[in-house]
Amino acid sequence: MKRLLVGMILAAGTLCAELDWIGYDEALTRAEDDGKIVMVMLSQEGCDACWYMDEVVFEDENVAAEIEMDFIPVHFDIKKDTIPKQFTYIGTPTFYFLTAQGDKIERLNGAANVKDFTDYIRDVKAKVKENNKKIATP
Amino acid sequence: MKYIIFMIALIGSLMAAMPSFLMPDEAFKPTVIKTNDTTYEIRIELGKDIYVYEDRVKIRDLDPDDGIDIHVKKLSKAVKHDNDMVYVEPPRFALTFSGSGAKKIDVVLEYQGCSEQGLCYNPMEEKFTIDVDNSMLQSANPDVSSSNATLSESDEIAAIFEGGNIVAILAAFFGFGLFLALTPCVFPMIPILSSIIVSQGGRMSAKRGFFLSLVYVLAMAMAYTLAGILAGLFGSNIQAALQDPIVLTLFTMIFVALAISMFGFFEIGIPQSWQTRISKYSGKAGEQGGVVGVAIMGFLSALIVGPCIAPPLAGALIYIGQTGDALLGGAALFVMSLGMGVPLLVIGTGAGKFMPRPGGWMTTVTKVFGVMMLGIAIWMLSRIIPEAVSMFLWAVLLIVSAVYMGVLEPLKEGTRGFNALFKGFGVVILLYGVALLYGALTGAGNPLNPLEQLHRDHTSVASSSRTAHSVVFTKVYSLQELELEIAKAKGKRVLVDFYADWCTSCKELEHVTFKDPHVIQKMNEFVLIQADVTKNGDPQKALMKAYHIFGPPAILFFDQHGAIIKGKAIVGYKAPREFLELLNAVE
Repeated sequence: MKRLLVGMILAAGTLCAELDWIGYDEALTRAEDDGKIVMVMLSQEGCDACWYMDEVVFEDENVAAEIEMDFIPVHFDIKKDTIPKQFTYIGTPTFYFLTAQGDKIERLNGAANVKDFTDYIRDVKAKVKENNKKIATP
Repeated sequence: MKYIIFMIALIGSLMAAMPSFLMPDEAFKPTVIKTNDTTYEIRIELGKDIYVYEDRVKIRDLDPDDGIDIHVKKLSKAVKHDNDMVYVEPPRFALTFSGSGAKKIDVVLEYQGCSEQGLCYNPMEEKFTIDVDNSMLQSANPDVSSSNATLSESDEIAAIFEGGNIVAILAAFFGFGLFLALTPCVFPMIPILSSIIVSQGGRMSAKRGFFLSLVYVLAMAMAYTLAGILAGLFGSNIQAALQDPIVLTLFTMIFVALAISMFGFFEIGIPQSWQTRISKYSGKAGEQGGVVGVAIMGFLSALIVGPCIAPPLAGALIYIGQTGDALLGGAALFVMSLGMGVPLLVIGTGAGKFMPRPGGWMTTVTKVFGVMMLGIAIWMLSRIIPEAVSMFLWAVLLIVSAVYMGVLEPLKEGTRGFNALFKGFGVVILLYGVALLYGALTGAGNPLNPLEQLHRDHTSVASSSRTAHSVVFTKVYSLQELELEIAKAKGKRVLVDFYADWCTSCKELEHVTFKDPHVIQKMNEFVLIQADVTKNGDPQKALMKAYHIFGPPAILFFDQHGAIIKGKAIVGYKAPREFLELLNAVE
């Protein structure tokens, strides 16, 4: 059932817009150029909560659009990829939100539903704006 | 997935802030404790909302070649969660050990789990060092395979107990019992019980027939239960111990005595004191004596007549051995025996109801059952005498019976009908008896196929150029011999058949399953070894204990490197087709 569901969602995914996950270094450069926030997701296979993020939350058009607009998504598989040292985690999914310099803005442990995740990334954006103001003012 | 979506939705609506997750060391707390003299238990305590994937829990022996094997048994049941099987309660695993040489052994526990709130933890590992001393090894618990391997049928049955629902467990075992009722383990009891009922004489009714059958079945169930509990707890096989020439001879004599009393032969040659004693035990001396006699026969029949190991029995014994829970295990065995007794109750009641009124008819019926008793006596004796001799006895029994039926005398003028029918049967019996006599003289092994040699002479000529038409086992009698043979066979897979002369199911395997051409062809891909445990002496007991076998028939498989192939053990009689499937499953 799960496999069927995944298959259907994947098939549907190829038709509509999907998040464009890219490499970490490239993401930092693009973030610099486009003035966006780097969103790092740490996940692993066989993780129910990661599956939920990939197949439910990120499939949501509004969530995808918000991410598309302000974030550069980066993905690491904790079992397959070498994870940069600064990204510690107690489990998956874990999200890191970073500046173009690679500095940590926020860390999110675990999955969240569409509404909470949307609220959360809006908070992150607000925090970045706040910081930028602070940096700009002095 | 629904579950997680629901949980996340719930959390979202209740809390504005993101949930804070337990740190891994708060979420999972693996511990190991010694639960009894032979068993350690590994347990993973779980924090709030934490679950563990069933298939990610692995318990490994860090040094598998140290001479000690670890046997893992799941004590907890996983539940379906989304599409995965997970433990939501702290999972527990019982560890038992077999092998030799006391030492500290390192065991690694791997596991992975998630929080319901939407976080999956990394796979984790925990190393335990466990002190295994000799006493733990000696009483290593019976366990045919570890939980990580695929389970054999017996293990699957043992696993039924884990469900915990007593009613379901007992119902399942009652069903197993019904199924077993028509196997050679119980079948011989049908003529025994009906003979006993017939021998009770003319005062028989359906009610009394039922009552006596019930007494017999209850006594039988009690014997099975007691023997089972003892076997499970101490690994001692009472049934095997009773397959002793002296016991079998005594038991045979009881049947001969019963038969003689049914023929009404007491007046010739048997002293008065013997006569009363025999009458008393055979249940002729009044109601009381009858009941006690029937109970004793039921008890003894269970122990002596059908020493069979069938998967449900082995499953219950494994459960008792591993958990020490003699109460539930015993109850299961008792219920199973009652299931086995159902046909006996039906037949016993029927025998009581349709028992002819005293008179000419009655004497005939009684005598037929007398012959049946003698048949049982020969059948019992066949476990300790050469096949040709028992075949000869069968021949004598049938020929004499036929002569007694008047086969060689002409039918009286003008009598046809029933008498002709009776004589017709007599002729068939006579001919079969003659065939058996031929078989006995030509060395055939199976009374059901007395013309075996005749048959073989033809086929061997016809098929000599084709594949082997029989299986030939190398016989071993002790653990040392078996290990030596397995070592010799390196590079080839090995099939080890645990066999005993007194084991009815083994004989059936030998005469039916191992004669099937497809089975033979497949079996010949293996190095064939037969572990003969007929004697049931110390070497044989040690041999069975080493492989956690309760009794024959049992078939084990070893791979090219001489390591046992777990979870593929075959217990009990299997028909050729099923046996072939099981053989094909061995890789």
